[in-house]
Amino acid sequence: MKPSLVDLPLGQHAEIVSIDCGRRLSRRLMEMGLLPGTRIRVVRVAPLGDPIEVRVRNYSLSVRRAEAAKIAVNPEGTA
Amino acid sequence: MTHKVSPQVLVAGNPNCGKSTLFNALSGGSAHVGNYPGVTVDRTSARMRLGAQDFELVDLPGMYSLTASSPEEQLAVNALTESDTRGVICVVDSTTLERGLYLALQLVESGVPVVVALNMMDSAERMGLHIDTDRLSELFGTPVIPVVATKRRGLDALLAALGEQLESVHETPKLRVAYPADLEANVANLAPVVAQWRPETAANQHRVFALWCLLSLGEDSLRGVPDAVRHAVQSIHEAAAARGRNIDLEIISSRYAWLDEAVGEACFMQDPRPSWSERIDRVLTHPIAGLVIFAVVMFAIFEALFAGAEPLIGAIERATGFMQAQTAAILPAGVLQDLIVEGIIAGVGNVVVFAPQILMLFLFIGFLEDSGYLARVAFVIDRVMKAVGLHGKAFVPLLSGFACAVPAVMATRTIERRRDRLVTMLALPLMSCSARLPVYILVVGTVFAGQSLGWFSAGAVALFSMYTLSVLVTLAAAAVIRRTVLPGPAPTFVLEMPPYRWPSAQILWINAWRRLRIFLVDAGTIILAMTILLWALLSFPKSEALTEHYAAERARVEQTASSEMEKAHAIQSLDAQEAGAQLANSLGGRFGHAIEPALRPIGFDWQIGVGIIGAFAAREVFISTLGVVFGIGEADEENKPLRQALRDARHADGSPVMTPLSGISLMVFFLLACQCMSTIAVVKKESGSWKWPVFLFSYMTVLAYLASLAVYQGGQLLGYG
Repeated sequence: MKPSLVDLPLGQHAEIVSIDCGRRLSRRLMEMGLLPGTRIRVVRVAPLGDPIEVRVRNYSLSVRRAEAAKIAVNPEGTA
Repeated sequence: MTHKVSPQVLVAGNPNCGKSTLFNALSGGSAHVGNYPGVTVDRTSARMRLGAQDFELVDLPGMYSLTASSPEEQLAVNALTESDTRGVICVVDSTTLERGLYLALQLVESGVPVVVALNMMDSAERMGLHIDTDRLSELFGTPVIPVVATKRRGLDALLAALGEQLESVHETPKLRVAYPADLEANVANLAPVVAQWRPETAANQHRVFALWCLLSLGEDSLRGVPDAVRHAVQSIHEAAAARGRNIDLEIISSRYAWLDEAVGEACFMQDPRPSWSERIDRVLTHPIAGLVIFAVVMFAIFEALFAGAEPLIGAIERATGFMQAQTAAILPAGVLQDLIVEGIIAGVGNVVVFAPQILMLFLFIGFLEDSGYLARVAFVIDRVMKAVGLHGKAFVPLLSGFACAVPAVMATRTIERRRDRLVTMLALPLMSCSARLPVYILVVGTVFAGQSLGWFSAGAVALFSMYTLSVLVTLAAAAVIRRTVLPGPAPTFVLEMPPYRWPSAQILWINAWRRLRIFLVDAGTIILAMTILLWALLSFPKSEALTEHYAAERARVEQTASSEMEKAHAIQSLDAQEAGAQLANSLGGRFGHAIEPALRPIGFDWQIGVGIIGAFAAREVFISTLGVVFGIGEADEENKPLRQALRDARHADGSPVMTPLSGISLMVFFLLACQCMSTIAVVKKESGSWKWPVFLFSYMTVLAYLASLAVYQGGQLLGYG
């Protein structure tokens, strides 16, 4: 099982491996520049635990945990 | 030019890219707001002249892509392919270059003349980002102009480039993304099918349109797409999936690969500096400080709407009353006077009275949105909203519902998806608005005066219960509507958190004023018409017999009264009684009588029934209508004679009408029923059809009746009342 965005420690950079959030949402995320190979990191978690805020391509985006769990990543510094 | 159409130039761009600021800077703020056909999206446009060219500048809604899956998203592509579109200004936030240029790339691919406005160049430079606009311009094959819309910098160069683009003959776009060979083959197969759908478009655009179809079609609600195209797209997707290909990914990643290379060539980052936005966010979304600031900001909005607007609302009401009195003094008494005073002036007053709250709420929301905090509000509170199937952005409209549903319904515009907007708009009229408060106060003062429950006064407990109940019912209604009437995927929450920026006061004012004007014209017309209708319902038919009877009574008083004071007093009392008797005889009064059998099981009589009918104008009108029904004349919620009259009211069997139990039943009814024509009018305007306000009125009325029935009958079974 690949780690997903929700598994990333805060501030840890990672590379997106795949996005599997259903066609519409996946397409939306991809068009906003989240593609396999794009660098991403989790910036913070909302005060009530959900959603989370990620930093990608020099802007911030918030996604719910349920969706973030479907974005597989490869943390930097690992194989 | 062969035929005289009005040429248009579109302004496109991502949300938060400063597109509207640029639009306002170019158009000088003199915009016209209309509607796109078939969808409830504002179409903001302004007439412009550039050299010899006259055209309409159209501000498209913010978007990340031309890809569409709903009619709302489709309108951009429709506008682009309209024959009178001469060109596009694509506004790109320089600080998020690739994402903004992704849209520019699609526009250039589509073959329309494009000018790219690289906005917020100053912010990009502060970040340490250097952009070679000449190089970008070469790569895109179209002018790329650096601008700072807020400071009106670069506008002349932008307009010059646009003028040149409009006059030059346009060739096939130079920009060519390298798509995989498999995908090119799919596109080649699809292009002839698209050509049959759109024979009027140029041949080189069929390829681009085929790409758009491949990306957009499937799980969509787009309009006007022929089945042949749908089937072709579906079979291409299926065949590709069978071979492990993902067409969406192929298209999008090919485009981004081109973009990454172009951006890499034309830009470089020099000693990047951390943004102060990041530092602000550490506080504003902090687990504790963030929640405290959130609560303070929300309370400030609430307080402003609730208390801050009060003096202005009072002034408008006094002005309306003054106009009514002046008109009544000038015009001879009669139907015409009544129509103008009670119908038209009252109706205009009913519309204008919303202006302070609408302006305030939209200034607030504009400030929150343009400063970037609204996205943080949604971020902080989304967890709670998600639980009932709402979007984080539904919070501000719901909260505003405590003050007044009318501006709150208008505020749902900040919610992007139509379905999410509708759910919010259909649930929030259940929030206990400020117009319900006078009704609660009258009832509480009538049935609970001086009583207590333990440490608390019974009235306070009753009021608190009403507000708590309203929140619970609103959330429950949202959850139920989401599951039954508007089923569909739960709202996804993918929200850009834009950097904090200081909003422009001018833009805030222009936008709030625009919203108000739209309300006054569109919803205002409906409210005025309903006020006149309601006036007629409660005024006709006039009974000649009653008029004669009271004329005779007055004549008798004139002769028998011993003092001037006694006479004046008796005549005043007779006037009030006559008004009450005429009201009882009117269509509305008869209707109140007719529905009494239905009202008895929930503890009301026909007089309260007439009050409820009158209260459709606005809930607080319940009190003045009751004042007339009971022959008291002018009355407010603190009116002692009205409270006494209510306490003295008896059913036919001699039992009192107003008991604590029927009082609670009445409060519950007012809490849940949609006794507000202005809400109906504004939901009609914002949802774009009569279907939703009719549904809203029906479900709330049924809910109110059943709840009051449960309260009254249940209470009686338990031995209360």
